[in-house]
Amino acid sequence: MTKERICGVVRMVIDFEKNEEIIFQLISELEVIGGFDVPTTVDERREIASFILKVIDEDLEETLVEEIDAWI
Amino acid sequence: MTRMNKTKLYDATFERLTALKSYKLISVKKRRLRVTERGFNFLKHDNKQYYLGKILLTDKYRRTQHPDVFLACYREFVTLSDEKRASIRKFILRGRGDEDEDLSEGDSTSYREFIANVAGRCGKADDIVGRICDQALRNVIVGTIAPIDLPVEGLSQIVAEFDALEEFFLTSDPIKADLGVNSEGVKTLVIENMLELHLEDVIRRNFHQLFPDLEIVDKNQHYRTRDGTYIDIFCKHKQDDKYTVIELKRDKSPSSALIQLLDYMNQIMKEFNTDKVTGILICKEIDRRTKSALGAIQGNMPEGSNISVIEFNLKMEYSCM
Repeated sequence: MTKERICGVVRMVIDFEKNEEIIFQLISELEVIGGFDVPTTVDERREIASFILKVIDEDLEETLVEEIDAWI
Repeated sequence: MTRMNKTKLYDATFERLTALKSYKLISVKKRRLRVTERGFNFLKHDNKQYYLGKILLTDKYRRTQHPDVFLACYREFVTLSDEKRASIRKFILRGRGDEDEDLSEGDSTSYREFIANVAGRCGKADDIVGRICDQALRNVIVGTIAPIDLPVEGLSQIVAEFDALEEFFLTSDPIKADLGVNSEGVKTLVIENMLELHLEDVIRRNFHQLFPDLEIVDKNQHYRTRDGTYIDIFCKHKQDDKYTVIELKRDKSPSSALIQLLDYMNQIMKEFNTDKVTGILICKEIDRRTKSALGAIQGNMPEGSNISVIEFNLKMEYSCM
């Protein structure tokens, strides 16, 4: 029982490589059902998944928002 | 791998990151990204569009100050013909680009009729109804599906779940109701993730019927204790100065929920300098360990304090007319 619980928690913490894969899966599913304004291909989604992790890992989110605002 | 140009990469990333965070499919803390339980559930769910629409609809419902208008809006929306729904959709999502060109006088008329019908359903003024319907139906999250875009079958099911919850708490005693009864013409409705988000709202709105001896004192917000923890529902007995802490658990109650409740009760005892604090644990099912622990402490609590447990069933049965 204890072992199962520990496994349950461990499953929630994902290492970098798996994180990229699951982010790719999430945005792929959202792409299918959500219809984003900027549609992407499978390869592009992989690039975005990698970039999302880079944005968070290097704390670039504010920079990203500022650049987007500047274009608008 | 293809290389996107910088503009497209930034734009697409912004959209997707916003959507992932808005839906709470991921959480970001201290530059660490985690996929939430909701994120895993989303990937596992067979009907992802329905699951996501339900999350959005429930989150919006929780934020609205007029839940009755909000629900009346969707109850009316699911009864409309395809053409009428398309008109309402065009009107609501006006200003989002291409669709503006198609907006006609007929669409505006359909929208006005829609508002009048919703107002009739909930007995509120047209201007309030118009504002709430606009907020309820409009998609405010970048690049993701709005409930208005859900297939009507899926949307009807969500609305039916809301209705069943309302009906259940308005007409049944959740403690005594025999939910196991089944008969011809009775449909089983399984409430899953909806309940976690919705249960507290329904209990608060029907509080006086469920707990006639108590009154809520937390101004409909989670009460923040001095230790910085939050109590689901904080209330007080009408007749005396006895406080009551209510802890909600969607699933089977783990023994940690009991410890959590005892912790909150103890904090309230210190904060208000009283021994008279009762606790109520509302959960789907009390597990063996919690039951055993509860038995051990029941006789040893300060005079005037006690803990009670209310079990409810996630499977509810209701008659479909």
